[in-house]
Amino acid sequence: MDLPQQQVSEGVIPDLQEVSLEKLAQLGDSVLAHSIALYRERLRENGVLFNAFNNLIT
Amino acid sequence: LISTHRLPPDALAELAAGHGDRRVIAHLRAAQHSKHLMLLHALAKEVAALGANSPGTDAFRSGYDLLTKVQAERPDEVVRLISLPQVGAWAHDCVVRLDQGLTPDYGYLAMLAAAAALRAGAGFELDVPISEGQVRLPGLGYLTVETNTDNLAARAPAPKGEASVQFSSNGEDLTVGSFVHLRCETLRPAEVDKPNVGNVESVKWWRGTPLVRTTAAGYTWNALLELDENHFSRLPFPVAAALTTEELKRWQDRAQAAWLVLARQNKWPLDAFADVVSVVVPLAQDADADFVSVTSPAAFGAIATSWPPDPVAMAEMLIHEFQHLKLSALLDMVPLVAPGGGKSLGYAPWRQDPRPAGGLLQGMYAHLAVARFWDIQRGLEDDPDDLFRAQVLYERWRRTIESTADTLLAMDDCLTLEGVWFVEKLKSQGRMLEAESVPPSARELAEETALDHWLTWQVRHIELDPAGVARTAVAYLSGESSDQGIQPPGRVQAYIRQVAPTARSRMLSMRQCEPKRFRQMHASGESLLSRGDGFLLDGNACEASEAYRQEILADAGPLPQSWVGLAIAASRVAPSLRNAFATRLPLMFELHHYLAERGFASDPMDLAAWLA
Repeated sequence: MDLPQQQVSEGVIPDLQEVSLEKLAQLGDSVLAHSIALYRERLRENGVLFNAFNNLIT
Repeated sequence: LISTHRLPPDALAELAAGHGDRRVIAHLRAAQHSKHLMLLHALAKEVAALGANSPGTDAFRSGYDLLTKVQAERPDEVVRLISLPQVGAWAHDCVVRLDQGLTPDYGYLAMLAAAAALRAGAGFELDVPISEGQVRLPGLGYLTVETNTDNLAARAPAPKGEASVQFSSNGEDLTVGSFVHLRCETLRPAEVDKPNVGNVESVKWWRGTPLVRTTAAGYTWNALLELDENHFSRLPFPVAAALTTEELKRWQDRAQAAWLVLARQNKWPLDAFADVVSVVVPLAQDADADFVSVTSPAAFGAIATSWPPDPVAMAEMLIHEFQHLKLSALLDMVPLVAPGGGKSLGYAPWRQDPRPAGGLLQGMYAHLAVARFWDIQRGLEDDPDDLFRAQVLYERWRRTIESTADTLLAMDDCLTLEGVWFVEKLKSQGRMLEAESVPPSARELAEETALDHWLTWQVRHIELDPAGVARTAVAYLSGESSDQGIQPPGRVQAYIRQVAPTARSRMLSMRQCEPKRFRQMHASGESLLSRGDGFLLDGNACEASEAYRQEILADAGPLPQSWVGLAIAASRVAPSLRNAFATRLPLMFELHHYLAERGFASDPMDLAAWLA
């Protein structure tokens, strides 16, 4: 299977690297609402899954 | 317009191969920083929407304002702070609590803002919440405060009956309440290798978070040992109690030794690791789980671990958990598991419980790196026991990559298009780990330990249709042949049978992980092995097989672990039965039990031969 040249599935995390906290506070609900809703839906569905390992797995 | 974080194809390819240098990891770090900001924004909107004020929401608003001011002067400090794993853990806690209809810990943002301002040397005034007699400053430490003025020797005075205390700073000095004056620069983490920095001996009432520093081959890794961060309390294991000075020194020394192991392997991107992992959460020791480690997608950059038994084990754990952190961050950017992919469960060779697709993917990703770790380590060990451990663990985990990939790919609609590609890529990486160079004794132990785990897992989690078991029993009693058609299919049902961990499984794991300790325990007879287990561990499969058979025949009740032991031993002495035991053990167990309840004493070996 070839490496996808373009990511097909939609990414969830908005790129906020250049957004100051002041601007972040001024962003309307709609700008990040989709990303936040998607992320929270995933949290509700799966919870926060831990990756736990025990070296003496029995 | 705000776009979403996306990985360049070459970075995705690097990660799919289990690698990822500093350049690739920078993409993940940037996305995690944005994720924390996104959650902060979500919380700010929740606070804004609340009609009434409360101490928590007031603290949140003041904290947000202060962070905004600090960012204008020192954006780097705010990026560093917002990126801390405890900030992710806090933000996730808040969102989960909101979804549960509970009030989040909004006031935490004021503590974050105070910590940022102190580090940046910014002047500020802020009411900071008091929690359990402490004012916590994430990433720095905490002040012990006391509202009871009779006890001021041990704690800084705070306004009586108040849930917060005012911090006032000109950037150089901090006034706490009206009474306490401290130098801002002294409120630092407590460097374990520098006894006079950041602790109560140097600054009254201050407890700096312990900081371990390690250096090897020009790479430095600094990590805070977080014991007092409430938002790590969701971990599935308890956090260790306060560590003594000697214990902190031991952690410092162990981390340094583990870092040297990784540097000596000369394979791992230590700079990328140090960029990501900023927190270690020491876990309490659990007698049933000698060495446990955990990461959470909510806390990018934090590794929780119990005390590592030796430097090599710690180095392996760090690589293992680093993989989880990388993949968790990648999954935020590129969905690899399809929506609803958490419903189906499959076999994970490293876990007792059945795992959803996301868990299988995480484990496979971690164990690819773990197998590579042991592959290198077996070329570096001089001590025979250490070399044997490296050989066994290499062989044990090498074999799991391809089989788990096949499990994942067979789980219907669990993966996205990228997920299928990613798993195929991992599978091909697993195939590249060659088997020929593993000595037979190491291979046998790896196979036996893996078989014990697989058989125990099946007996625990494979459910069979009772009517199908009854039909098969009738066929057996009638002397019919056992073709596939009459055997009921199994389906994964978590803990359909309760099977307690046995001394045998524990000793097999110990034999591969800690050969010296295994020999001591086995010789001392402290391991509480059954007769069959004793024969098996002594390498006497014939006697073991007969002992397990007798245990099953002698006892009216179900003995699942005797069946597992029988399957392991019989697989060695009767190769023709190996496949039947490996794939139909739950059916043998159910058939035997079904027949016993109806007065038919079936011989386990006869059942196995019939099903073979």
